[in-house]
Amino acid sequence: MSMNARMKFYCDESRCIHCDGCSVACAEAHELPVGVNRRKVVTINEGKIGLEYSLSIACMHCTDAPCEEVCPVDCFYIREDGIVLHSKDKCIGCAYCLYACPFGAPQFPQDGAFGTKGVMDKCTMCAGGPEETNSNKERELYGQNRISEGKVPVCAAMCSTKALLVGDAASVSNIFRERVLSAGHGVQSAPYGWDKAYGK
Amino acid sequence: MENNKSLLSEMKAYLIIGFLFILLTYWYFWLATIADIDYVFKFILQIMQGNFSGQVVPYESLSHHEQGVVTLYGASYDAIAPEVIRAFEERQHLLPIVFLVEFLLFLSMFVIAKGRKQAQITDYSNTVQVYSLFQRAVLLLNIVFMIYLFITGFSITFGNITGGGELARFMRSTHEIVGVGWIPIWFLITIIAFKDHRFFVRPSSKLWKSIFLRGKYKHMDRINYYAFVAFSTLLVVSGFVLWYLHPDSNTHAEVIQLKRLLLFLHFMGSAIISFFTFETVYSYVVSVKGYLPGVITGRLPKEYLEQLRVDVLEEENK
Repeated sequence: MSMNARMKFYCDESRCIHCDGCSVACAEAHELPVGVNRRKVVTINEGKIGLEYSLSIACMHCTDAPCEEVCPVDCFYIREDGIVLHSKDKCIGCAYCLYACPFGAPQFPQDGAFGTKGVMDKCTMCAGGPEETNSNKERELYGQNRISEGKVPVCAAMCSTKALLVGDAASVSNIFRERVLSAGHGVQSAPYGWDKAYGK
Repeated sequence: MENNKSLLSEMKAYLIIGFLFILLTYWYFWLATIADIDYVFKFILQIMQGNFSGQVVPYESLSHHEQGVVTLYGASYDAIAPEVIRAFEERQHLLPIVFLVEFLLFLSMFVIAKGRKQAQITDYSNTVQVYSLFQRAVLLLNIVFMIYLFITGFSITFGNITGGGELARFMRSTHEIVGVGWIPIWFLITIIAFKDHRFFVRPSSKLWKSIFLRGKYKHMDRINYYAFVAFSTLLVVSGFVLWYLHPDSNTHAEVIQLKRLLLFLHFMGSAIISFFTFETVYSYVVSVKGYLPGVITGRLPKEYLEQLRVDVLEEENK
Protein backbone atom coordinates (compact mmCIF):
# COMPACT_ATOMS: atom_id res chain seq x y z
CA MET A 1 0.00 0.00 0.00
CA SER A 2 1.37 3.42 -0.97
CA MET A 3 1.97 6.21 1.56
CA ASN A 4 -1.07 8.12 0.37
CA ALA A 5 -3.33 5.11 0.04
CA ARG A 6 -7.05 5.68 0.28
CA MET A 7 -8.97 2.54 1.02
CA LYS A 8 -12.02 2.10 -1.18
CA PHE A 9 -14.71 -0.42 -2.01
CA TYR A 10 -15.78 -1.07 -5.55
CA CYS A 11 -18.52 -3.43 -6.66
CA ASP A 12 -18.22 -4.75 -10.20
CA GLU A 13 -21.82 -4.80 -11.37
CA SER A 14 -21.07 -7.25 -14.18
CA ARG A 15 -19.96 -9.85 -11.63
CA CYS A 16 -22.33 -9.39 -8.69
CA ILE A 17 -24.93 -12.17 -8.65
CA HIS A 18 -26.90 -10.94 -5.61
CA CYS A 19 -26.01 -13.96 -3.51
CA ASP A 20 -26.00 -11.75 -0.36
CA GLY A 21 -22.84 -13.55 0.79
CA CYS A 22 -21.20 -10.22 1.63
CA SER A 23 -24.05 -8.87 3.76
CA VAL A 24 -24.54 -12.19 5.57
CA ALA A 25 -20.81 -12.53 6.22
CA CYS A 26 -20.69 -8.96 7.55
CA ALA A 27 -23.65 -9.48 9.86
CA GLU A 28 -22.21 -12.75 11.16
CA ALA A 29 -18.63 -11.54 11.59
CA HIS A 30 -19.63 -8.41 13.48
CA GLU A 31 -22.60 -9.98 15.30
CA LEU A 32 -24.92 -7.22 14.14
CA PRO A 33 -28.37 -6.94 15.72
CA VAL A 34 -31.44 -7.61 13.61
CA GLY A 35 -32.41 -4.52 11.62
CA VAL A 36 -28.85 -3.23 11.24
CA ASN A 37 -27.34 -3.92 7.83
CA ARG A 38 -23.92 -2.45 7.34
CA ARG A 39 -23.94 -3.83 3.82
CA LYS A 40 -26.83 -4.52 1.49
CA VAL A 41 -27.23 -5.88 -2.01
CA VAL A 42 -29.67 -4.24 -4.39
CA THR A 43 -30.85 -5.42 -7.80
CA ILE A 44 -31.83 -2.74 -10.25
CA ASN A 45 -34.32 -3.21 -13.11
CA GLU A 46 -35.20 -6.61 -11.73
CA GLY A 47 -36.66 -8.88 -14.43
CA LYS A 48 -35.83 -6.52 -17.29
CA ILE A 49 -33.70 -8.47 -19.75
CA GLY A 50 -30.40 -6.79 -20.50
CA LEU A 51 -30.97 -4.04 -17.93
CA GLU A 52 -30.81 -6.01 -14.69
CA TYR A 53 -27.76 -5.72 -12.50
CA SER A 54 -26.91 -5.99 -8.81
CA LEU A 55 -24.66 -3.98 -6.54
CA SER A 56 -23.36 -4.46 -3.03
CA ILE A 57 -23.42 -1.20 -1.07
CA ALA A 58 -22.06 -0.05 2.26
CA CYS A 59 -20.25 3.01 3.55
CA MET A 60 -18.08 4.24 0.67
CA HIS A 61 -15.54 5.82 3.04
CA CYS A 62 -15.76 9.11 1.14
CA THR A 63 -12.71 11.32 0.87
CA ASP A 64 -14.82 14.38 1.80
CA ALA A 65 -17.26 12.44 3.97
CA PRO A 66 -20.50 14.47 4.38
CA CYS A 67 -21.34 12.52 7.54
CA GLU A 68 -18.22 13.92 9.15
CA GLU A 69 -19.18 17.44 8.04
CA VAL A 70 -22.67 17.36 9.55
CA CYS A 71 -22.04 15.50 12.80
CA PRO A 72 -22.89 18.05 15.51
CA VAL A 73 -20.73 16.30 18.10
CA ASP A 74 -17.81 15.52 15.74
CA CYS A 75 -17.85 11.81 16.44
CA PHE A 76 -16.37 10.92 13.02
CA TYR A 77 -12.72 10.71 12.18
CA ILE A 78 -10.87 9.70 9.03
CA ARG A 79 -7.83 7.49 9.37
CA GLU A 80 -4.65 8.12 7.41
CA ASP A 81 -5.57 5.33 5.02
CA GLY A 82 -8.94 6.99 4.33
CA ILE A 83 -11.20 4.70 6.37
CA VAL A 84 -14.04 6.72 7.90
CA LEU A 85 -14.79 5.65 11.47
CA HIS A 86 -16.82 7.03 14.34
CA SER A 87 -17.00 6.93 18.12
CA LYS A 88 -20.14 5.30 19.49
CA ASP A 89 -19.43 6.77 22.90
CA LYS A 90 -19.74 10.30 21.50
CA CYS A 91 -22.56 9.68 19.02
CA ILE A 92 -25.95 11.00 20.19
CA GLY A 93 -27.98 9.18 17.53
CA CYS A 94 -29.40 12.35 15.95
CA ALA A 95 -29.26 10.75 12.47
CA TYR A 96 -27.94 13.88 10.76
CA CYS A 97 -25.33 11.66 9.09
CA LEU A 98 -28.15 9.60 7.62
CA TYR A 99 -29.63 12.69 5.94
CA ALA A 100 -26.26 13.75 4.59
CA CYS A 101 -25.02 10.36 3.41
CA PRO A 102 -25.59 9.90 -0.32
CA PHE A 103 -25.47 6.11 0.09
CA GLY A 104 -27.70 5.45 3.09
CA ALA A 105 -24.86 3.83 4.99
CA PRO A 106 -25.59 4.89 8.59
CA GLN A 107 -27.80 2.42 10.44
CA PHE A 108 -29.76 2.99 13.63
CA PRO A 109 -31.04 0.24 15.88
CA GLN A 110 -34.45 0.98 17.36
CA ASP A 111 -33.45 -0.15 20.81
CA GLY A 112 -34.48 2.90 22.85
CA ALA A 113 -37.62 3.45 24.88
CA PHE A 114 -40.76 3.78 22.72
CA GLY A 115 -38.76 2.71 19.67
CA THR A 116 -36.33 5.63 19.65
CA LYS A 117 -33.08 5.26 17.80
CA GLY A 118 -29.88 4.11 19.40
CA VAL A 119 -26.39 5.18 18.38
CA MET A 120 -25.30 4.96 14.77
CA ASP A 121 -23.69 1.86 13.31
CA LYS A 122 -21.99 1.63 9.94
CA CYS A 123 -19.41 -0.26 7.94
CA THR A 124 -15.97 0.14 9.50
CA MET A 125 -14.23 -1.62 6.63
CA CYS A 126 -13.44 -4.14 9.37
CA ALA A 127 -11.15 -1.59 11.03
CA GLY A 128 -12.85 -1.35 14.43
CA GLY A 129 -13.17 1.98 16.21
CA PRO A 130 -11.32 4.45 18.42
CA GLU A 131 -10.99 1.99 21.31
CA GLU A 132 -7.84 -0.03 21.92
CA THR A 133 -7.20 -2.28 18.92
CA ASN A 134 -8.69 -5.76 19.33
CA SER A 135 -9.91 -4.98 22.83
CA ASN A 136 -13.16 -6.48 24.06
CA LYS A 137 -14.84 -3.08 24.02
CA GLU A 138 -13.83 -2.47 20.42
CA ARG A 139 -15.14 -5.85 19.37
CA GLU A 140 -18.36 -5.36 21.28
CA LEU A 141 -19.07 -1.92 19.80
CA TYR A 142 -17.68 -2.19 16.27
CA GLY A 143 -17.13 -5.87 15.55
CA GLN A 144 -13.97 -7.45 14.20
CA ASN A 145 -10.83 -5.46 13.44
CA ARG A 146 -9.49 -7.51 10.53
CA ILE A 147 -7.47 -4.64 9.05
CA SER A 148 -5.20 -4.61 12.13
CA GLU A 149 -4.52 -8.30 11.49
CA GLY A 150 -3.61 -7.63 7.87
CA LYS A 151 -6.78 -9.24 6.56
CA VAL A 152 -9.19 -8.10 3.86
CA PRO A 153 -12.66 -6.95 5.05
CA VAL A 154 -14.86 -9.99 5.46
CA CYS A 155 -17.40 -8.98 2.77
CA ALA A 156 -14.76 -8.81 0.03
CA ALA A 157 -13.04 -11.94 1.33
CA MET A 158 -16.33 -13.85 1.11
CA CYS A 159 -17.38 -12.57 -2.33
CA SER A 160 -17.59 -15.71 -4.47
CA THR A 161 -17.39 -13.93 -7.82
CA LYS A 162 -14.87 -11.36 -6.64
CA ALA A 163 -17.27 -8.63 -7.66
CA LEU A 164 -16.53 -6.74 -4.47
CA LEU A 165 -13.08 -5.21 -4.57
CA VAL A 166 -11.41 -3.45 -1.66
CA GLY A 167 -8.06 -1.83 -1.11
CA ASP A 168 -6.03 1.17 -2.14
CA ALA A 169 -8.06 3.17 -4.69
CA ALA A 170 -5.27 2.99 -7.28
CA SER A 171 -5.00 -0.80 -6.95
CA VAL A 172 -8.77 -1.28 -7.14
CA SER A 173 -8.82 0.95 -10.21
CA ASN A 174 -6.03 -1.07 -11.85
CA ILE A 175 -7.81 -4.38 -11.22
CA PHE A 176 -11.03 -3.06 -12.70
CA ARG A 177 -9.19 -1.59 -15.69
CA GLU A 178 -7.56 -4.96 -16.39
CA ARG A 179 -10.95 -6.64 -16.17
CA VAL A 180 -12.46 -4.21 -18.66
CA LEU A 181 -9.55 -4.58 -21.06
CA SER A 182 -9.58 -8.35 -20.88
CA ALA A 183 -13.36 -8.66 -21.23
CA GLY A 184 -14.16 -10.95 -24.13
CA HIS A 185 -10.54 -12.18 -24.41
CA GLY A 186 -8.98 -15.35 -23.05
CA VAL A 187 -10.34 -18.20 -21.02
CA GLN A 188 -10.87 -16.12 -17.91
CA SER A 189 -13.80 -14.31 -19.45
CA ALA A 190 -15.76 -17.51 -20.16
CA PRO A 191 -17.46 -19.46 -17.37
CA TYR A 192 -16.02 -22.85 -16.43
CA GLY A 193 -17.10 -25.54 -18.89
CA TRP A 194 -18.34 -23.07 -21.49
CA ASP A 195 -15.76 -24.15 -24.14
CA LYS A 196 -16.64 -27.83 -23.67
CA ALA A 197 -20.36 -27.21 -24.04
CA TYR A 198 -20.37 -24.64 -26.78
CA GLY A 199 -16.86 -24.52 -28.22
CA LYS A 200 -14.63 -21.45 -28.22
CA MET B 1 -66.83 55.79 12.61
CA GLU B 2 -64.49 55.11 15.52
CA ASN B 3 -64.90 51.36 14.95
CA ASN B 4 -64.05 51.75 11.27
CA LYS B 5 -60.88 53.68 12.16
CA SER B 6 -59.84 51.00 14.61
CA LEU B 7 -60.46 48.24 12.04
CA LEU B 8 -58.43 50.17 9.47
CA SER B 9 -55.49 50.56 11.81
CA GLU B 10 -55.75 46.86 12.71
CA MET B 11 -55.73 45.88 9.04
CA LYS B 12 -52.80 48.23 8.41
CA ALA B 13 -50.81 46.56 11.20
CA TYR B 14 -51.49 43.11 9.75
CA LEU B 15 -50.59 44.23 6.23
CA ILE B 16 -47.26 45.60 7.43
CA ILE B 17 -46.49 42.45 9.42
CA GLY B 18 -47.66 40.28 6.50
CA PHE B 19 -45.40 42.16 4.08
CA LEU B 20 -42.44 41.85 6.45
CA PHE B 21 -43.18 38.16 6.81
CA ILE B 22 -43.22 37.65 3.02
CA LEU B 23 -39.85 39.43 2.84
CA LEU B 24 -38.52 37.19 5.63
CA THR B 25 -39.79 34.08 3.84
CA TYR B 26 -38.28 35.28 0.56
CA TRP B 27 -34.98 35.87 2.30
CA TYR B 28 -35.11 32.50 4.07
CA PHE B 29 -36.05 30.35 1.09
CA TRP B 30 -34.52 32.07 -1.89
CA LEU B 31 -31.49 33.83 -0.53
CA ALA B 32 -30.43 32.15 2.69
CA THR B 33 -30.76 28.53 1.62
CA ILE B 34 -28.91 26.62 -1.02
CA ALA B 35 -31.61 23.98 -1.35
CA ASP B 36 -33.12 23.79 -4.84
CA ILE B 37 -36.32 25.71 -4.04
CA ASP B 38 -37.89 24.89 -7.40
CA TYR B 39 -37.40 21.21 -6.55
CA VAL B 40 -38.75 21.72 -3.01
CA PHE B 41 -41.98 23.21 -4.40
CA LYS B 42 -42.38 20.41 -6.96
CA PHE B 43 -41.76 17.85 -4.22
CA ILE B 44 -44.36 19.41 -1.90
CA LEU B 45 -46.91 19.44 -4.75
CA GLN B 46 -46.12 15.81 -5.43
CA ILE B 47 -46.60 14.95 -1.73
CA MET B 48 -50.05 16.54 -1.91
CA GLN B 49 -50.81 14.13 -4.73
CA GLY B 50 -49.74 11.19 -2.60
CA ASN B 51 -46.27 10.56 -4.03
CA PHE B 52 -43.60 10.70 -1.33
CA SER B 53 -40.60 9.43 -3.30
CA GLY B 54 -39.13 12.83 -4.21
CA GLN B 55 -38.68 11.72 -7.81
CA VAL B 56 -40.24 14.78 -9.48
CA VAL B 57 -39.52 13.73 -13.08
CA PRO B 58 -40.79 10.39 -14.51
CA TYR B 59 -38.48 7.51 -13.64
CA GLU B 60 -38.65 6.27 -17.26
CA SER B 61 -37.19 9.54 -18.53
CA LEU B 62 -33.95 8.92 -16.62
CA SER B 63 -30.87 7.35 -18.13
CA HIS B 64 -29.85 3.81 -17.19
CA HIS B 65 -27.25 5.18 -14.80
CA GLU B 66 -29.64 7.74 -13.25
CA GLN B 67 -32.27 5.04 -12.68
CA GLY B 68 -29.65 3.03 -10.80
CA VAL B 69 -28.71 6.00 -8.64
CA VAL B 70 -32.35 6.75 -7.77
CA THR B 71 -33.14 3.12 -6.98
CA LEU B 72 -30.08 2.67 -4.82
CA TYR B 73 -29.74 5.98 -3.02
CA GLY B 74 -33.00 7.93 -3.41
CA ALA B 75 -33.93 10.90 -5.58
CA SER B 76 -32.07 14.19 -6.16
CA TYR B 77 -29.42 14.15 -3.45
CA ASP B 78 -28.14 17.53 -4.61
CA ALA B 79 -31.52 19.24 -4.20
CA ILE B 80 -31.86 19.27 -0.41
CA ALA B 81 -28.95 17.41 1.20
CA PRO B 82 -26.38 20.21 0.67
CA GLU B 83 -28.71 22.58 2.51
CA VAL B 84 -29.02 20.09 5.36
CA ILE B 85 -25.24 19.72 5.47
CA ARG B 86 -24.64 23.47 5.35
CA ALA B 87 -27.31 24.19 7.95
CA PHE B 88 -25.55 22.22 10.70
CA GLU B 89 -22.30 24.09 10.48
CA GLU B 90 -23.95 27.46 10.16
CA ARG B 91 -26.60 26.87 12.82
CA GLN B 92 -23.86 26.18 15.31
CA HIS B 93 -22.03 29.38 14.40
CA LEU B 94 -24.71 31.80 13.24
CA LEU B 95 -27.59 31.09 15.63
CA PRO B 96 -25.94 32.82 18.62
CA ILE B 97 -25.62 35.94 16.43
CA VAL B 98 -29.30 35.69 15.42
CA PHE B 99 -30.33 35.39 19.08
CA LEU B 100 -28.11 38.33 19.99
CA VAL B 101 -29.80 40.45 17.31
CA GLU B 102 -33.24 39.37 18.61
CA PHE B 103 -32.18 40.20 22.17
CA LEU B 104 -30.98 43.65 21.07
CA LEU B 105 -34.27 44.17 19.24
CA PHE B 106 -36.27 43.41 22.39
CA LEU B 107 -33.90 45.52 24.45
CA SER B 108 -34.48 48.47 22.08
CA MET B 109 -38.24 47.96 22.35
CA PHE B 110 -37.88 47.88 26.13
CA VAL B 111 -35.86 51.11 26.18
CA ILE B 112 -38.22 52.88 23.75
CA ALA B 113 -41.21 51.84 25.88
CA LYS B 114 -39.35 53.31 28.90
CA GLY B 115 -39.21 50.09 30.89
CA ARG B 116 -41.92 47.71 31.90
CA LYS B 117 -45.47 48.38 32.92
CA GLN B 118 -46.30 47.28 36.44
CA ALA B 119 -49.53 47.13 38.36
CA GLN B 120 -49.77 48.79 41.77
CA ILE B 121 -51.36 46.12 43.92
CA THR B 122 -52.44 47.03 47.46
CA ASP B 123 -54.89 44.22 48.17
CA TYR B 124 -53.66 40.76 47.25
CA SER B 125 -56.64 39.08 48.91
CA ASN B 126 -59.16 40.51 46.44
CA THR B 127 -58.73 38.07 43.56
CA VAL B 128 -60.66 36.89 40.54
CA GLN B 129 -60.72 33.33 39.20
CA VAL B 130 -59.23 33.68 35.72
CA TYR B 131 -57.98 30.20 34.83
CA SER B 132 -59.84 26.92 35.32
CA LEU B 133 -58.00 23.82 36.47
CA PHE B 134 -58.06 22.45 32.92
CA GLN B 135 -56.60 25.68 31.51
CA ARG B 136 -53.89 25.79 34.15
CA ALA B 137 -52.92 22.20 33.47
CA VAL B 138 -52.69 22.82 29.72
CA LEU B 139 -50.80 26.12 30.10
CA LEU B 140 -48.28 24.78 32.60
CA LEU B 141 -47.72 21.54 30.72
CA ASN B 142 -47.23 23.53 27.53
CA ILE B 143 -44.65 25.75 29.23
CA VAL B 144 -42.78 22.76 30.67
CA PHE B 145 -42.87 20.80 27.39
CA MET B 146 -41.77 23.76 25.28
CA ILE B 147 -38.89 24.64 27.60
CA TYR B 148 -37.71 21.03 27.55
CA LEU B 149 -38.00 20.82 23.76
CA PHE B 150 -36.07 24.09 23.39
CA ILE B 151 -33.27 22.93 25.65
CA THR B 152 -32.97 19.44 24.16
CA GLY B 153 -33.35 20.78 20.60
CA PHE B 154 -30.50 23.19 21.21
CA SER B 155 -28.43 20.40 22.76
CA ILE B 156 -28.58 18.68 19.35
CA THR B 157 -27.95 21.84 17.36
CA PHE B 158 -25.10 22.96 19.59
CA GLY B 159 -23.49 19.54 19.79
CA ASN B 160 -20.08 21.18 19.53
CA ILE B 161 -20.70 22.60 23.02
CA THR B 162 -22.19 19.47 24.62
CA GLY B 163 -19.51 17.30 22.99
CA GLY B 164 -21.85 14.30 22.74
CA GLY B 165 -21.83 11.37 25.13
CA GLU B 166 -24.47 9.77 27.30
CA LEU B 167 -26.22 12.88 28.64
CA ALA B 168 -26.46 14.52 25.20
CA ARG B 169 -27.76 11.20 23.80
CA PHE B 170 -30.39 11.04 26.55
CA MET B 171 -31.47 14.59 25.74
CA ARG B 172 -31.70 13.78 22.04
CA SER B 173 -33.83 10.69 22.58
CA THR B 174 -36.10 12.43 25.09
CA HIS B 175 -36.47 15.34 22.64
CA GLU B 176 -38.23 12.85 20.36
CA ILE B 177 -40.40 11.27 23.06
CA VAL B 178 -41.31 14.54 24.77
CA GLY B 179 -42.07 15.98 21.32
CA VAL B 180 -44.55 13.16 20.72
CA GLY B 181 -45.99 13.75 24.21
CA TRP B 182 -46.38 17.46 23.40
CA ILE B 183 -48.79 16.73 20.52
CA PRO B 184 -51.98 16.51 22.65
CA ILE B 185 -50.90 19.52 24.74
CA TRP B 186 -50.11 21.48 21.56
CA PHE B 187 -53.53 20.54 20.19
CA LEU B 188 -55.31 21.70 23.35
CA ILE B 189 -53.36 24.95 23.67
CA THR B 190 -54.14 25.92 20.06
CA ILE B 191 -57.85 25.45 20.86
CA ILE B 192 -58.03 27.14 24.26
CA ALA B 193 -55.83 30.10 23.25
CA PHE B 194 -58.07 30.99 20.30
CA LYS B 195 -59.67 34.27 21.34
CA ASP B 196 -61.27 35.52 18.12
CA HIS B 197 -64.74 34.17 18.85
CA ARG B 198 -66.68 37.32 18.11
CA PHE B 199 -69.05 35.42 15.78
CA PHE B 200 -69.32 32.31 17.93
CA VAL B 201 -72.46 31.44 19.93
CA ARG B 202 -71.76 30.52 23.54
CA PRO B 203 -74.14 27.78 24.65
CA SER B 204 -72.88 27.85 28.25
CA SER B 205 -70.84 30.73 29.61
CA LYS B 206 -69.45 28.67 32.49
CA LEU B 207 -68.32 25.83 30.26
CA TRP B 208 -66.95 28.30 27.71
CA LYS B 209 -64.83 30.09 30.33
CA SER B 210 -63.48 26.83 31.66
CA ILE B 211 -62.23 25.89 28.18
CA PHE B 212 -61.20 29.08 26.34
CA LEU B 213 -58.77 31.58 27.83
CA ARG B 214 -60.34 34.91 28.68
CA GLY B 215 -59.60 38.29 27.16
CA LYS B 216 -58.87 39.66 23.71
CA TYR B 217 -55.68 39.68 21.69
CA LYS B 218 -53.81 42.87 20.93
CA HIS B 219 -52.35 43.05 17.43
CA MET B 220 -48.93 41.59 18.15
CA ASP B 221 -50.34 38.94 20.49
CA ARG B 222 -52.73 37.85 17.76
CA ILE B 223 -49.84 37.56 15.31
CA ASN B 224 -47.88 35.59 17.91
CA TYR B 225 -50.81 33.21 18.36
CA TYR B 226 -51.32 32.55 14.65
CA ALA B 227 -47.57 32.22 14.07
CA PHE B 228 -47.48 29.74 16.96
CA VAL B 229 -50.32 27.74 15.41
CA ALA B 230 -48.73 27.74 11.94
CA PHE B 231 -45.18 26.90 12.91
CA SER B 232 -45.93 24.57 15.79
CA THR B 233 -48.12 22.58 13.39
CA LEU B 234 -45.17 22.41 11.03
CA LEU B 235 -42.89 21.32 13.88
CA VAL B 236 -45.28 18.74 15.27
CA VAL B 237 -46.09 17.14 11.90
CA SER B 238 -42.50 17.12 10.66
CA GLY B 239 -41.17 16.00 14.05
CA PHE B 240 -43.67 13.18 14.35
CA VAL B 241 -42.97 11.83 10.86
CA LEU B 242 -39.21 12.14 11.40
CA TRP B 243 -39.56 10.09 14.59
CA TYR B 244 -42.09 7.59 13.27
CA LEU B 245 -40.63 6.96 9.83
CA HIS B 246 -37.65 4.75 10.46
CA PRO B 247 -36.36 3.28 7.20
CA ASP B 248 -34.23 0.17 7.20
CA SER B 249 -31.53 -0.44 4.62
CA ASN B 250 -34.05 -1.82 2.13
CA THR B 251 -36.53 1.07 2.31
CA HIS B 252 -33.96 3.83 2.73
CA ALA B 253 -33.99 5.03 -0.89
CA GLU B 254 -37.78 5.36 -0.91
CA VAL B 255 -38.12 7.64 2.11
CA ILE B 256 -34.83 9.45 2.67
CA GLN B 257 -35.77 12.42 0.48
CA LEU B 258 -39.03 12.89 2.40
CA LYS B 259 -37.09 12.83 5.67
CA ARG B 260 -34.61 15.38 4.30
CA LEU B 261 -37.46 17.70 3.30
CA LEU B 262 -39.12 17.32 6.69
CA LEU B 263 -35.87 18.02 8.51
CA PHE B 264 -35.44 21.13 6.36
CA LEU B 265 -38.96 22.24 7.36
CA HIS B 266 -38.33 21.32 11.01
CA PHE B 267 -35.27 23.62 10.99
CA MET B 268 -37.27 26.41 9.41
CA GLY B 269 -40.15 25.97 11.85
CA SER B 270 -37.87 25.93 14.89
CA ALA B 271 -35.98 29.04 13.77
CA ILE B 272 -39.16 31.05 13.14
CA ILE B 273 -41.16 29.83 16.16
CA SER B 274 -38.23 30.83 18.39
CA PHE B 275 -38.73 34.46 17.45
CA PHE B 276 -42.47 34.42 18.13
CA THR B 277 -41.99 32.53 21.38
CA PHE B 278 -39.49 35.12 22.56
CA GLU B 279 -41.95 37.82 21.51
CA THR B 280 -44.72 36.14 23.53
CA VAL B 281 -42.50 35.86 26.59
CA TYR B 282 -41.45 39.48 26.12
CA SER B 283 -44.99 40.83 25.82
CA TYR B 284 -46.49 38.77 28.69
CA VAL B 285 -43.63 38.77 31.18
CA VAL B 286 -40.99 41.39 30.35
CA SER B 287 -42.64 44.47 28.83
CA VAL B 288 -45.59 44.09 31.20
CA LYS B 289 -44.79 42.55 34.56
CA GLY B 290 -46.64 39.25 34.56
CA TYR B 291 -48.28 37.66 37.56
CA LEU B 292 -46.94 34.14 37.36
CA PRO B 293 -48.49 32.79 40.60
CA GLY B 294 -51.84 33.38 38.89
CA VAL B 295 -51.09 30.68 36.32
CA ILE B 296 -50.53 28.21 39.17
CA THR B 297 -53.37 29.20 41.51
CA GLY B 298 -55.76 30.29 38.76
CA ARG B 299 -56.56 33.55 40.60
CA LEU B 300 -55.24 37.04 39.84
CA PRO B 301 -55.57 40.18 42.00
CA LYS B 302 -58.47 42.33 40.85
CA GLU B 303 -56.28 45.44 40.88
CA TYR B 304 -53.82 43.77 38.53
CA LEU B 305 -56.61 43.00 36.07
CA GLU B 306 -58.09 46.49 36.35
CA GLN B 307 -54.78 48.12 35.55
CA LEU B 308 -53.25 45.74 33.00
CA ARG B 309 -55.83 43.23 31.74
CA VAL B 310 -59.13 45.03 31.43
CA ASP B 311 -60.12 42.72 28.58
CA VAL B 312 -60.06 39.75 30.98
CA LEU B 313 -62.26 41.57 33.49
CA GLU B 314 -64.75 42.47 30.74
CA GLU B 315 -64.94 38.84 29.77
CA GLU B 316 -65.62 37.94 33.38
CA ASN B 317 -68.85 39.87 33.33
CA LYS B 318 -70.19 38.23 30.14
